[in-house]
Amino acid sequence: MDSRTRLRTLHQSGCLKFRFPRHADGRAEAIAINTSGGLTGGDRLSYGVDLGTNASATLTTQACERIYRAHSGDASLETTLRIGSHASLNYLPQETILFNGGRLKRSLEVNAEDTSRFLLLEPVILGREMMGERVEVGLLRDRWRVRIAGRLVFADDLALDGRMADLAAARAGLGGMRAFATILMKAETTEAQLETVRVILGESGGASLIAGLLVIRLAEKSGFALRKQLLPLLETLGEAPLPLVWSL
Amino acid sequence: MNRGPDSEEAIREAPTHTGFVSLITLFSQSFPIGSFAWSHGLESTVRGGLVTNADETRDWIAFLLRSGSGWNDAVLFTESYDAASDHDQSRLDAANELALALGFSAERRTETEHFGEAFREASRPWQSADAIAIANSPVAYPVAAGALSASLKLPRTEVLTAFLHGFSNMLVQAAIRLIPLGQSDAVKITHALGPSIVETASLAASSSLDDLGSAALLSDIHSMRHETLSPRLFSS
Repeated sequence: MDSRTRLRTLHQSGCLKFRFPRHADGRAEAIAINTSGGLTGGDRLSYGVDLGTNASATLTTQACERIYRAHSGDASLETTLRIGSHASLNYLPQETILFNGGRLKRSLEVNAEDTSRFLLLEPVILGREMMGERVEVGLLRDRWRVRIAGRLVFADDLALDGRMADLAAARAGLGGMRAFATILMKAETTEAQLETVRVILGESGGASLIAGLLVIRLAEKSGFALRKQLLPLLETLGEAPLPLVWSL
Repeated sequence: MNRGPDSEEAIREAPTHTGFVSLITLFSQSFPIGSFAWSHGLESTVRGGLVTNADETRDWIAFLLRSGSGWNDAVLFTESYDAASDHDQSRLDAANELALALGFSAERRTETEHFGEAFREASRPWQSADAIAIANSPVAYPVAAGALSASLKLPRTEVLTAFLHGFSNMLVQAAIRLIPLGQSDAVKITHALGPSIVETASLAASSSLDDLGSAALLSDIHSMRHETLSPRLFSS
């Protein structure tokens, strides 16, 4: 019997495309590509993945999503993930980079089952530090709603709204950091992995176990420093070989 | 005489003397919800050297009130108040599920469930059988408080102000023991936080769940880091 995960339906339109690299070991990987090269006010992007029973797949992006200065309105990015029974999904997009004046409203809706496994990541960088950019104003709203067997088990509403520079400078905000990430994982191994995760995080973040879910939040002074933290974390938590962009 | 909807609203919102006593009792520092044992992550923040004096304590609390868990709790309070006013049990249940799910760390969830349960127990004399409430499951504190306030017809903005004052006071009291601060510093902080409390209450009074949102990432992180802090004085 061939137990490989295969593509059942693909629908794509506008600037969002998917690429499916072939791997010798047969693992399923999808790479989302925004051919428009970035988002600005009024742009709307949405994608959904429906992973059937027993399937396993990794979803990532070809490049960092760039959010450019909005002249009017907000950009919106909606992601919907359905993960069937005994299915396993790694959702590992690359960093979203917010430019000064960029405005993004993002949502991540996850519907999983009791026996599903998932690893979700959303990394964000405020400006490109190498280019000397500073994000003074802008908007980032990130809404997560995660349901397991229909029950809401995890919700998060991040809102960096308006004076970004002040929010990022505040001690309770980002304490001067400019790159951060949230990770959520559901797996049978989370309890055993908590300690290892805390050791990797050190001073740069925190991890907690809520009803079997592993929640991680970390903040770093640069996108580079954030990636240096994320690579070993994903190496520890990821089940299938990681996509090339997230491999050590 | 003006019998329009505005005047009915005004009558409903006008605090009676009994209502005023209920309001200051339910949200006073001595109402037994056990907040003295919880620091909402402030303990690990102080230990980590992020908050070391009165000014930094004031800024930390003001940030949570305007852009962090204080604001989110106020939005959840309003949603629960509205659900109970409309006698909408399923809306209140959904608010409670969301309030619990929004707890970003294990201790955040335990904290709000602990306050919620203690508030539900202690407020029994104020409860009536026909009021909408979360009866038998874990209840988040802003949900329990918002629903009861609506059933008692306590004026929305005033009761939110008292609720947020309680949130702020819990953190000030924790800071007194942790930093430590003297009483005069604590009083100065409380005085300085007045505008943040009033403005947050006034904004939250007309908020909806779409307005949920926190920028307090380091507060979340320190709340998680508190789990491994040793030794510790507080449960969160």
